[in-house]
Amino acid sequence: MALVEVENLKKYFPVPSGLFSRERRVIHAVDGIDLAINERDILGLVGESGCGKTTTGRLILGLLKPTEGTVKFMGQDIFNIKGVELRKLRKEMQIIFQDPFASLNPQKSIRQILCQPYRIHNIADGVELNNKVEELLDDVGLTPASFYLDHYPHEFSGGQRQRIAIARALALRPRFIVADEPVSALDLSVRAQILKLLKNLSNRFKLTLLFITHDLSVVRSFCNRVVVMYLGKIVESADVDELFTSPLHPYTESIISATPVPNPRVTRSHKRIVLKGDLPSQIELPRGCRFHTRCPKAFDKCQVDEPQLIEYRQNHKVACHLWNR
Amino acid sequence: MNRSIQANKCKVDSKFKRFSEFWRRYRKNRPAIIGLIIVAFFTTVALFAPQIAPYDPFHIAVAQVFESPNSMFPMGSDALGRDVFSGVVYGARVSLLIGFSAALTSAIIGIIIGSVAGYLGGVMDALLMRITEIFQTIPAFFMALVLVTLFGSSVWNVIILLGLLSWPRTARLIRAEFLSLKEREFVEASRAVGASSAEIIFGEIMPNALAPVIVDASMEVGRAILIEAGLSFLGLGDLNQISWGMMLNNAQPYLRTAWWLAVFPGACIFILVLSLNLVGDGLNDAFNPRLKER
Amino acid sequence: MVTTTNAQLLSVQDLKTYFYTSYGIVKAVDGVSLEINKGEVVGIVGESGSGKSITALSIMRLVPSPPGKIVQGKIFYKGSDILSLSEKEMVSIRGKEISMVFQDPLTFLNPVLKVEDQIAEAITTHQGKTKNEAKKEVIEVLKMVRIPSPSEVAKSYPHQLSGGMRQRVLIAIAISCNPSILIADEPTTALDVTIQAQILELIKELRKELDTSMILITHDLGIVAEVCDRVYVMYAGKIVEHADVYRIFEDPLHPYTSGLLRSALSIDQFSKELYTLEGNVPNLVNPPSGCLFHPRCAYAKEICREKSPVLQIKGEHTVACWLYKET
Repeated sequence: MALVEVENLKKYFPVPSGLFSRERRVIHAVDGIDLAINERDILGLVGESGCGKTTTGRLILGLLKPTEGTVKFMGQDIFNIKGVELRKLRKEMQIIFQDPFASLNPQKSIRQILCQPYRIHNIADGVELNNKVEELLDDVGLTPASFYLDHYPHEFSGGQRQRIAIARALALRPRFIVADEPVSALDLSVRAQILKLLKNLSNRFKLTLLFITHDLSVVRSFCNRVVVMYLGKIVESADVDELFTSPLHPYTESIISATPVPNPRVTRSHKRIVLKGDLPSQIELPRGCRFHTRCPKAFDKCQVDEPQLIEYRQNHKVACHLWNR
Repeated sequence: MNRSIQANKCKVDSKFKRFSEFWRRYRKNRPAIIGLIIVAFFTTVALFAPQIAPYDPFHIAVAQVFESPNSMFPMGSDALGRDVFSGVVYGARVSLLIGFSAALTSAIIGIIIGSVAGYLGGVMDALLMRITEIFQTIPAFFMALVLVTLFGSSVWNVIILLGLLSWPRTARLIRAEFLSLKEREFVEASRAVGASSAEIIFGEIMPNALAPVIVDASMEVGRAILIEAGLSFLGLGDLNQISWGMMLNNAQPYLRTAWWLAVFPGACIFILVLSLNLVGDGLNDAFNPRLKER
Repeated sequence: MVTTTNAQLLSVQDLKTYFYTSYGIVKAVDGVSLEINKGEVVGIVGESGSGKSITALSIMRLVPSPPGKIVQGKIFYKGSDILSLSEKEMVSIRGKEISMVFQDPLTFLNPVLKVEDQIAEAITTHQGKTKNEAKKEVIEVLKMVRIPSPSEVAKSYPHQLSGGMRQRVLIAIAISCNPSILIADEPTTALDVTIQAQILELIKELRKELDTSMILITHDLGIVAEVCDRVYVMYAGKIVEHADVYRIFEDPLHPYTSGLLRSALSIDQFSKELYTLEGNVPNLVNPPSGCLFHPRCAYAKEICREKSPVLQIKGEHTVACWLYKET
């Protein structure tokens, strides 16, 4: 049984329409996705803006209610439980956000921020609580812990704040952590430090990670499996090396091609696939395959039928008529 | 050292540190410091009015009417021989009491309504906002006149009245803060950790939402003082208390002949309200760096 | 593609821009010298606090002043020192001779003006044309930045356009007067990778067509590898290394440069070993003694703690590091 099972998950956001308008339009943020995350996976969820990856992350954690579909964590439907049971589940899944400046309450000291999870779940108190919190800071490389505890978030750099955010996520010893672009706002050298930290922690605490990002370079080095989303749907999923060496979906090919490589000889000799146009509207979706308006390999079927996600090779799924004859 | 004592000591230290950083930022603003000193000065005068004022402000001395400022009456005397200086000193009491109490009342009402509207959204928000709008569209002064006529004009009535007039402004401010803060990531993080709604409202959002309200409240004190002065000027204030507005009212017929009757109370109103505004500006600037990144 | 004429357009000499804050003096740019020749794309690479953006703002004389101040240096553009020009003379250079494109188009476009008005404003200010003449040019400029349906876009407001389109409009404003130098500060950071690819292609094409020189400021080593001819690496307000793009990537001399390159992740990377450069960017109010990088440097020697190294030439590189003796 997978740790996290997502079935036909949909999330539509209403578009505020005029007072006298009859139609109720929606933003199809997530439009029917199926996903399984196994224990100890580091799953990369990639896509560009408007693909629905951030919304998916929130839905999986139960921070948003779906319009349709289910999310099962350790076999339990997370939207069908309340109260004490929901609280118990909360302990098992946590989140790390992109913006280290926005994810820590500026009015709270680090001590208060880190004590909160223990306090809410009545895990520890007094001296024991102090010890646990200091240990957390040690785990994320912020030593001496006592220095950090009584300061406020604005006194620290982006990298340090992100470590604090990671410490908070680890406090309840969860099994599953959703990391939403955890390093995108950080400097290059700090990025590497935080990724290395996350990798070490996930090994040490046997974590399962859902790593949401738009940066494919990070995915290659960090994740073991990848899922590519476009306009609310999954277009391809595979093991990481397989995805980069033999991408099937034209969108996957184009984003791999568009990612510059820090090596002038390689990147300049590379023939770049440049997509035409912009992302279509999330409200009025293209008919047929959502990608056909920009796809260099589109043909007539693509404008009419929406392709299904099929398993083309072992562990490699794709939703594209090119591979679905 | 016992670790929990150490932990508590650190908590106290860090609160002190926060305040001293806030104070450092406030200090940078010269006018704000001057404003604060002046407000503190008036507050002291108000607190020690009985010790400072040489006479009972209502004490009539027929033999000493319309004396211009001299050694016995430093600010002169009025039509009934009452000492203007004593009036000003006791008047400070009334102004500050009404000003601070009214601001506090409107802040409390506004915070409760605004935070509920902002956090819950939807129907509750719409309902509360309509109520807020109703209160806002009533012209303040006319409402004041009506209520004072109906319920009498004691100091406490005036305070409640002023509180009822200005809470919509605070409610709007808090609601706006709640609307933007509740989507912030640190709030989501709290939810993810398992915090209850109550904890999120009071523990996470409220401390961040209060800054603009505190600034507005300090300005509100000044506004309340002005309205009170206006009411007293029209003879609608508490007739048992001497207030600057009342003194201005009494001074009306004698503006040309006995300038001191209007100038001193008028100047006090002006200086106090200006100082309160300066303090408000200072607080505003001191609060804001916190909300920005380093 | 790279012109061999060594016509030097811009020469920045020993620029120092300091910020006077209540915490102390921040030496944001502390003795930076660089050159731009005709037709080149020069990259300035660095992390936060490196001073790369302030260098660009200093060239444009847009440093917020207080608390910033250009305390020293000369910037020669086509022979004259920009820093000694009056503000009036500077206005005729800014936007016309040297133009800048910023990171976030939404903040730099006026939300209440239509696109055509904003581009026309740039044209009328610098070229003395009438509004109507300018409006005709607007369509031409929009075509140059490959905007589809330029006449529709011209009549739109910024918020009606996508991020990529907005960035093209910013570039359009910047090139409308055919500047000799275009400074682009993180022009693609806020964009999706497929849109970024489009913008990079556009930059390459414009460079060929208009022969504009460019200063590209970025922290993204992939973009540098893609587009730049020469690279300056900055750290804590100073230039630590400078060479042509191939040499910088293949043979980095300064420990910071090599550390940065090794930290950079790549889709080409097969090794799952994550290399990290330890430590943090220094506090510029209270900088370390000697070489600003020494606390993080694996090769730090006694002298590194004491004296700040000077830029020297070593083969085809210029590098500021005590590991390299004067050749």
